[in-house]
Amino acid sequence: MAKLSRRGFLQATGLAALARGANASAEMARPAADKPRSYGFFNPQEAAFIEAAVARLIPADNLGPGALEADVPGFIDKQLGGAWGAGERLYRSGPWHAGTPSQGYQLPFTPAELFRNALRAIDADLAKSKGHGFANLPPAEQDAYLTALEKGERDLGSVPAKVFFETLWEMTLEGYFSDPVYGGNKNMAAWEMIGFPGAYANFYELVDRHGEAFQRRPVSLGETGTMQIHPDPNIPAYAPAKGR
Amino acid sequence: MSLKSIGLPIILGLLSLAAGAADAPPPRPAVPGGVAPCESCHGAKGEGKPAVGAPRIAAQPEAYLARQMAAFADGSRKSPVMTPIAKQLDDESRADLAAYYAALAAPINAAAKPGPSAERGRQLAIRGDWSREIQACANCHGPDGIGEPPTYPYVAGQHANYLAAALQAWRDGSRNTDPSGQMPAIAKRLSDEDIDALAAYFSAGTPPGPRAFRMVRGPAKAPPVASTPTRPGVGAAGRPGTPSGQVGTEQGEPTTGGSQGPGGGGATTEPTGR
Amino acid sequence: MATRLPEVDAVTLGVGLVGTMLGRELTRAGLKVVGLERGDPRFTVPDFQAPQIHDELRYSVRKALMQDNARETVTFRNSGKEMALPIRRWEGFLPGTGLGGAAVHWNGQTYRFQDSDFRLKTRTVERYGRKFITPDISPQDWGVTAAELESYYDRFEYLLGTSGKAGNLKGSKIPGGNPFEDARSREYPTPPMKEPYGSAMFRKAAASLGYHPYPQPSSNLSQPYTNPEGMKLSTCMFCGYCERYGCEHYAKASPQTVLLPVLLNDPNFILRTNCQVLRINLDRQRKRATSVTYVDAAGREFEQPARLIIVGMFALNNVRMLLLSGIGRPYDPATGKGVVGRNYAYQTTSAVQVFYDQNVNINPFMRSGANGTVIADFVSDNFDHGPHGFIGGAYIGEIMSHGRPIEFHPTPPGTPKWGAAWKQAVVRHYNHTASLSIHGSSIASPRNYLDLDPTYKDAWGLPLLRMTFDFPENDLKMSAFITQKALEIGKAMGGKQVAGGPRKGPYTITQYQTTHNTGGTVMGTDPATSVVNRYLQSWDVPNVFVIGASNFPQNASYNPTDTVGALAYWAADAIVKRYLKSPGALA
Repeated sequence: MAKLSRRGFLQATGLAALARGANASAEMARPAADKPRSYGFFNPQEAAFIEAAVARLIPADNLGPGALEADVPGFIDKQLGGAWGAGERLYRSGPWHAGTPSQGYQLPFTPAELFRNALRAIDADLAKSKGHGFANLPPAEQDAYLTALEKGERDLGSVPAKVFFETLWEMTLEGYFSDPVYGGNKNMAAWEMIGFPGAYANFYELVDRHGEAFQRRPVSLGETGTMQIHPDPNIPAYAPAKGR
Repeated sequence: MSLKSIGLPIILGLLSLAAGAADAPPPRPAVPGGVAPCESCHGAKGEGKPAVGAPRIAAQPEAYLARQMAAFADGSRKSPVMTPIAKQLDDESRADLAAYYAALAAPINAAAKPGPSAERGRQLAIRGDWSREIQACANCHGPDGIGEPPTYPYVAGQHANYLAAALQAWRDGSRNTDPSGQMPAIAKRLSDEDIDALAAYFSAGTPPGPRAFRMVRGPAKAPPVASTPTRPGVGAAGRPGTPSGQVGTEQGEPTTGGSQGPGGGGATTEPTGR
Repeated sequence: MATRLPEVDAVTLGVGLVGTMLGRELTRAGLKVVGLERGDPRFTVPDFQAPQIHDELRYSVRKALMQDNARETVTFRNSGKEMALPIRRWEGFLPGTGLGGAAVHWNGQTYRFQDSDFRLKTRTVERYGRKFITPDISPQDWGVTAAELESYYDRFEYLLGTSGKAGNLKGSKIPGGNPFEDARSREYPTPPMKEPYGSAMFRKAAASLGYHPYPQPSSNLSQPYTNPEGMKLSTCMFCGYCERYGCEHYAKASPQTVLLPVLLNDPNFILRTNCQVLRINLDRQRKRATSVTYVDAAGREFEQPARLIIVGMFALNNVRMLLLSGIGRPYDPATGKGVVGRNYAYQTTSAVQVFYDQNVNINPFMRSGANGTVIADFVSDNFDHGPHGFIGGAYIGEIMSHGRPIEFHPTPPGTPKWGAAWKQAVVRHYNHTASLSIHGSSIASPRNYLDLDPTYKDAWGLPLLRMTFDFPENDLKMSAFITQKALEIGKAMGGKQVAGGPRKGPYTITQYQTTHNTGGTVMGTDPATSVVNRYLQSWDVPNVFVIGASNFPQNASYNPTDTVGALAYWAADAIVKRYLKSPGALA
């Protein structure tokens, strides 16, 4: 049988171009904000802060979507509105003492209560100091305000600003990088951006191919109609193609 | 969600891409010289021919297809038809054929219906069977059996008689091409009824279309299916000189770990302090 | 009012690794055994199957397999001068719960402790003199030697199917293995796992500096294996979801994959799940345990009489159970008297990261729980401590276990904590960073101990365990010295930048370090400094055996599970061969 030149063959058939060009997968590039967001936990004022804040924490750029485009606000909304927000797995008995930094979280608030109280105080704080809400500040001032929260320099009443900032940042990270079935990491774009393969993973035959980057579209927990545990079957792992 | 709906978006995405891009090649690759003998059994588009026990090979992972041809050639997989053919092919030709078929999108047999024992097959596929220490097929063969490129083939939409024959070959040891040893071990725990049930279940599934996969040496460029156009430049690391953030660094550790959980730190801690 | 059940021969408190092993050994000896497990029943199929088990948010971040803090937690303080406060959510360490216990979500690292660990005090005095032991530490001997435990280690590793390379076979040094290990009687059951890229670069760098790299002994198996119980295990597929997860592939040794199905088929074993043991009941003289009291999920209270009681829970819970039951004298740090809760120890860990050029693709997600390459050159007493002024040691290794991005997104020092530059750094470094672990010993200190909290209660109204712990100066010195060695290896690995630093105090429960909580029911040969004798039998109540990492007089450089398993077989052997024939004190 004739010997085929691999390079020539690939060029002739355009396979190389197919492999190279497959990145244009249409649904991956779909803009995140097709329609207005809806929330079950946040009221519109709270949502305006969260949307603007996460967009500064992880901004959109040419590397990939930001936290807003990945729908991190939707993720946080669902988490706070569900068992996690209600204090799932949180030891909630008093008495309550401030404690030392090594003793960790010692507030009486569930995550939902923590956000409610902090966001109310932030609105009041900004109304007093700036005359309008966070979302209306220019980006540099938003960053400065977030930095002030991070350093504990704003008085949020019963919630230490630092604790709120850390919680917001952690939940932003979770929403950005967790499986899309939880509502964030829309279209798995954060996984794609760093090259994380997702929920289906068997690398026995690849682990000793030292130094070769693994490049495959990631796979979500939700990409099956038969998943055993599906946190929210109404959230598709990636946007379905039109016309289905 | 129906089984049939799973593979479709990927196929549609790739087809529309290939057809739509201005500088794209023709959507169907030219037929290499070595393909003609394959077509007689595997079909013009790699759709397979159940009458002769020839599997669907269109859009199987390239590395998987290349390994099968090598295995037929060296005897670790046995077939009176494939062995002599594979022996005539050199490595490069096998690689080209594998690449060719991996990129083919064959029609889906929409008439395929789950057989009567498919419910047992479904249970094995997505759940396994604790009583016989059988793990779920989905662990390696992907969501709804669409495979895990580059190593593990899709089984959804594969012809039932081929699936049954393949499982029997794994079970009796005549096929021994899995370096991990997982597949023979699992097959040995399957009964005849289980094999029929799996064939009935998976054959009615929807096979995937061609998928991009690469292992790349050197600086990783855009991943094959990236939604974003570029990777960062080398100089993209953070500003030097400032101390790193507090989360995970209070013990003098790097910000994130990677061994034993976020052992060296990690940003998932509860809020600290007051 | 508790319902009194018919008496059985033995009851195990907890059906994790120890409960399963002892259940098996005792039923095999003809005993009727009840296993009480507070958590859910769970099995490889269906509970650990992919894809649902590959969910980082659910298992790693929300900690689905761990003890629910809302029901039971631990209070914590750095020193006796502070008020202990409840750990409201686990971060620093992660006690598991449920059938199979922590051996479901462990990583599979399977190391033997060295003879120099078992004879820590004697050896230190012999080699460095009595004055070398500073007042901030209280090292002591275990009362067993590595030679005595060898056959039990061997049996346990063959139960698990551990993958590794011997370095010392019956006294002959074997190239490629750990040259510092004590003699083992035969090779590992299965060969070493494949070596990932970062580990290979570590091996070359460590060897170039004159160290002795060897494959980390792993109970994520390198090939299919059938153990002596007839259980079949499979090959680890390097999925990158190991610690904090169950294994879908039957590839990680756990009670479910190595023993439980055999035990559950034995009509002499009765498993009761969702049963919370409240206390062990003693007779009037408090010299004999008569029964245990437990509550089931419906809130019904039962008294289960038994002739023999095996306390085989997580180390911290073993200590708490003895305190709640009044077995043994609680430790009092003011006087130094008492033993229960004494010598609580941990693990002194640190990390070093090597940031590579973009040409170097690490693929951090292609990992298993216990893969990788390590050196033992700084373990235990394998180097001269004389000039350094501390005892103990650490192994150094490239043993990354995953690339799950919520937890793993390395950035070099100087990177902002959030914002555009943070994101750029994450994308730049995710696939181009290797991480070294420095896994060090924790020497017991008179200041570090466990007792019952005076204020906070669990869901059943019982006092929580109170932990008082900070790193002794000795251990911080150890970490400083050995982390420096790891930084040197990191520099030899060819990265563009190396970052990391030693462990520093104070100890915090806000950052995950390890779940190797040890001590509190220490074994030994002197009732004044130990809770159980060398056969893990209570000095005070001889029909109670306490088994687990709570027996460690101090924690060694290596991960504890192999030693817990060896001790479990060691105690089971003493019970079956001696105690059952003549119930009474074995020492």
